[in-house]
Amino acid sequence: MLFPNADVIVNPVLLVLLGVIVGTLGGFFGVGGGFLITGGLIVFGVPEIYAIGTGLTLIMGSSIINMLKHRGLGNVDFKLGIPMVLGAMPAVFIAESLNSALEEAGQVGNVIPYIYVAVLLLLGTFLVYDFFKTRRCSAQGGNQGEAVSTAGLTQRVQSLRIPPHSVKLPGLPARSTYIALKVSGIEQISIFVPILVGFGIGFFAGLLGAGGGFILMPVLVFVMGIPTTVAIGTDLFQVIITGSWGTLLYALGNNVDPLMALIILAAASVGSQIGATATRFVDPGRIRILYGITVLSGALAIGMGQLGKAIGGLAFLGRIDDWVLLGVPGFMCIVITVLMILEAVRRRQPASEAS
Amino acid sequence: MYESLTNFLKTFSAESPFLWALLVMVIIAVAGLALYGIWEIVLKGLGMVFGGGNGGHGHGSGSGGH
Repeated sequence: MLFPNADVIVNPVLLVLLGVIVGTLGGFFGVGGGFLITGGLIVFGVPEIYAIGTGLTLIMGSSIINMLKHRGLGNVDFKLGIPMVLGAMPAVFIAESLNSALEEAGQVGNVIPYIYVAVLLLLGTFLVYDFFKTRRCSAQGGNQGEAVSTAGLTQRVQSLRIPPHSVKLPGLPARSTYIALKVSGIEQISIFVPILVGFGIGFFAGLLGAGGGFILMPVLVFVMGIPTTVAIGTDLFQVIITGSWGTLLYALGNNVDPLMALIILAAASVGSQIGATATRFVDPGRIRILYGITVLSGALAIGMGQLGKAIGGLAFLGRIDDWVLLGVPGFMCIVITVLMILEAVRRRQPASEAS
Repeated sequence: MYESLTNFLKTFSAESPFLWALLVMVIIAVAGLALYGIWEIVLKGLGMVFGGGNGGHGHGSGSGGH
């Protein structure tokens, strides 16, 4: 099938498969999946600039579906999401300026992929470490629930007192800068904490040219102490904003193929139903370890690509890296579906035995 | 019809970049909302047929939350 804007012929069946994978992982982990979409489209022969532009457009659309689905499940904390978005906006501009400076110095190609690999490796390793540490600590060694190895840090972050403790706007009474996050189960937290978190995430997102969802979800869980499912839903709210901004910029440059995005989006909506519903059935500890493995596979794929470019004898790594990028998440979708079905069957059994 | 759509996509995107960018965003946002709505109706229908009428939805049954 010919896609007129990108001027490329792609088999729509491949786009549908990519869409199902992206939708499932987006609904389950609360990430936009930018690295996966872009990598996948490039493998299918789409020019790189259209792969990025169309990927961002898809992130926007699929995050809308996933966020609404999670909102229906009570997993979106808008009171947390809005200050984070406010903090992220200036940071994205600062990071993009830094990116432009690196580009002018001809260093973008050298620096960014290595930062990407380092961040993904650190994140993935920590998630795996946390899973095994909390598993040892949990009494039964089975379901870990919301237990995380950084419980002390989350308590300290939640009790931070950051001045000013109240603000007075003209014509209005003084208002406290501490808010209650009912959906997240936090009684009181300084509004500057989510703003600062948003700033940090926005900076990384702008620097790496990604939506930032892949960093935000673990930061919300391990630094702020937000329950995993709420972190997933709220993360998607932030990804809609960053995805929309990216869509606007790339569409202005005529680097988006909407027909391609619509086909993938329709398929992603199927995956979204599976992924978001699975969060109701799969233990949060397992969600985090599956996410850790997916993140590590991303680091492996990007690292292989870089090694393939840097060392002539390892050029073959550069040809198989994209298949690692697609293969592991594809396998992860199967694991998610199987875990969801098994848990649904397990929950039904006592009910049917009782009746 | 496919040819006229192709021509429209190519010419409009080249001639009016700002309107084109807005059109792309609106189309994707509307498609996202429509797909969400369609799936909600489908799942509710399936829930009523197979799940005794709760529509396949539930709040607070997830493993998250305090």
